[in-house]
Amino acid sequence: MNEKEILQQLYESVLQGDSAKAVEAAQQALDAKISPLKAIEGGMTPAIQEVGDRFGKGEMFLPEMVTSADAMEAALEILEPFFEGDEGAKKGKVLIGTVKGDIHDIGKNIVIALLKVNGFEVIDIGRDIASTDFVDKAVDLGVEVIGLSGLLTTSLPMMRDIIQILDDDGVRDQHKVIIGGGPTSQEYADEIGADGYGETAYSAVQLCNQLLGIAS
Amino acid sequence: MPGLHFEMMERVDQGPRVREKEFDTSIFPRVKELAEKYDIKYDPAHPIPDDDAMADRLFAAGMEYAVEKGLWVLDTQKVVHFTEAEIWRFLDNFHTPLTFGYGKDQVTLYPRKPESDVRPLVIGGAAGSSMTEGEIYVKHMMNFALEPTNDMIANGNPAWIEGREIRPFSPNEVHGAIQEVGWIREAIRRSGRPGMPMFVAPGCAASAPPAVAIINEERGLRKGDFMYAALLTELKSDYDRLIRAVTAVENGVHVATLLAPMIGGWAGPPEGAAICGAAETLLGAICHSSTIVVNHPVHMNLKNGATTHRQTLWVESVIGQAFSRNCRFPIGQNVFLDARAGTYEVLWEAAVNAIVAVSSGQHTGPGPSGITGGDDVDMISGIEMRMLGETSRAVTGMSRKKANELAVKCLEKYEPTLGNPPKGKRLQDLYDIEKLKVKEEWLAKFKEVKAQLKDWGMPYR
Repeated sequence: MNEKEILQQLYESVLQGDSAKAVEAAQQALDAKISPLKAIEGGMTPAIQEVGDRFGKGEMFLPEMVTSADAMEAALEILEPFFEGDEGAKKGKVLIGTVKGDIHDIGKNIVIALLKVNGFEVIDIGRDIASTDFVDKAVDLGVEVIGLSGLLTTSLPMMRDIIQILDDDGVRDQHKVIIGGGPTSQEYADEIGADGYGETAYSAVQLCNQLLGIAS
Repeated sequence: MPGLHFEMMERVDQGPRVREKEFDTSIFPRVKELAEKYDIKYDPAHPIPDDDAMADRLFAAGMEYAVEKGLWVLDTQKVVHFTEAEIWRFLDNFHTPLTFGYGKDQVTLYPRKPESDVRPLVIGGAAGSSMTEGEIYVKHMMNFALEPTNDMIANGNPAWIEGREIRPFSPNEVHGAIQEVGWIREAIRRSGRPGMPMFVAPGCAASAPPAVAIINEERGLRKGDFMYAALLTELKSDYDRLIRAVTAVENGVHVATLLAPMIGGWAGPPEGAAICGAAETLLGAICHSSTIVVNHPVHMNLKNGATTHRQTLWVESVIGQAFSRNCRFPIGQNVFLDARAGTYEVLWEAAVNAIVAVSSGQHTGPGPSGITGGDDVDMISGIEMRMLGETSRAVTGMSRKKANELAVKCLEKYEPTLGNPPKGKRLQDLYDIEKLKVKEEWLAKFKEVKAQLKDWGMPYR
């Protein structure tokens, strides 16, 4: 296969969410001496942008976006050891989870998939997570952004608690905090001192870009 | 109702472990195949389709998928399976009519079919909507109970309890749930309907203990009232939810199973959400020994869970038609509105939900509601309930063709602002709160919308 065909294969495998095919194409790229950066920019990035566009238009759905993100991650694992300098570096590290007492996680999962396809490293801490666990994990992993999700009204105080614990532990300035989900609002984000509120899954991506000073 | 109580308890921790991601991501490819096999097709021009054969095929697709897929349990990561024979054993032993409530306030649920002239039950309340605690909460509940078309009272969500935020698994959460149901009992007594059946998903109860604590003949849920137990989207449950159901059933409280198939989520497009929703209806009803399933399809583009997107209306309609045509198990329609009290949009949304639910063989409610939180408190009123109830009565017996015409006209009124509706007002701004009398400005909007619907052919009395 020539370079064009390999990049096309990378594009198609990510678009179709085919991890095995994506890994194979990434290896072929390396074998053909295509630089990892070119493989990403010429094959995978256009595919993932296409996935994001189709998802936004309602032409692709959550499971397809998740499998596309998985395929991209699988291919990146093959390419990563061959990056030079900061080639292929992630935009930033985001820890995200649903707060204590709330196990609704579809909104969180959509945000995770969108952040991944937009180049962020995402740590999914899960659902029904104790406030202290959010803080401890964020500190341990040195994440730039903490994303708090919740569908229930009773989730709101837990978001306030997490910000308070970050303050009490003296690490508030090391992490940006964003909130989202049914009962949240910009007013509530302002009230509890969060750094941002995402009304939609897409706005969570924009917020992360904005907070980390990245052009979207 | 006789569910498969023992079978469920035995099977929640049996069989091989299934990882959640594997369970989730395998839904879409399969429901896509089933949509093709059973020829299930969404048509935006017909949020209320007039196709009996498709309704029957959807029921068959839901049955096939329920048997094949089963219900995943979070705590054990196992899948509870039931055979088709077991599912029919549950459905065939379900006896309707059923009577709820006490004394003069009793109401009876009769089986319905699409276009049926049998009056639906209307369940009025606002689970999900934040309300000021105490006397204002009681006034909200009275406002719903005083609407004569309301057959059963549903709760709202106190925003605080004793001035404190409500934290899950805290003592204040249990205290709050007990207070909340006590206020509903007070409200129905003060409204002259002490025996009115209650349909409660306590807003203070994010966890099971407070839900369990509200069963109390003297001041809480009585035998024969309803408690919610929701499934998790899609086709999932956990011990917390199953504990609520077991506690209710073994104390003589009816279980209403809530399900929320998501359009754009794990099941993909409306067709996938409908098949998933039909399967969830069967599995939820059986696992919870439910008396009713409340369908609440959601759309991933609508943050606050509104049921009034054109695609969610279609999912509501086809599931309602599928079940009412093929068994006697009743389906309710959760009514979550995007707009807030005081706006024209909220009235059009309430009307369209009633039109879809009733013409499709379902019962109306609980609703009208909407997820609110933070500072967005008390943005709901009895006038939306009046629109829901009066429209439910008027649309009873209407053909699906005519109902579809009216639904499409309603959609044209609010669809342009769906997802970004005009800001509404609080109950305290729209009513004389002491006397619970609606102010002229809000009543005039109600009359205007109703007159327009009447002009289009809605047979209000």
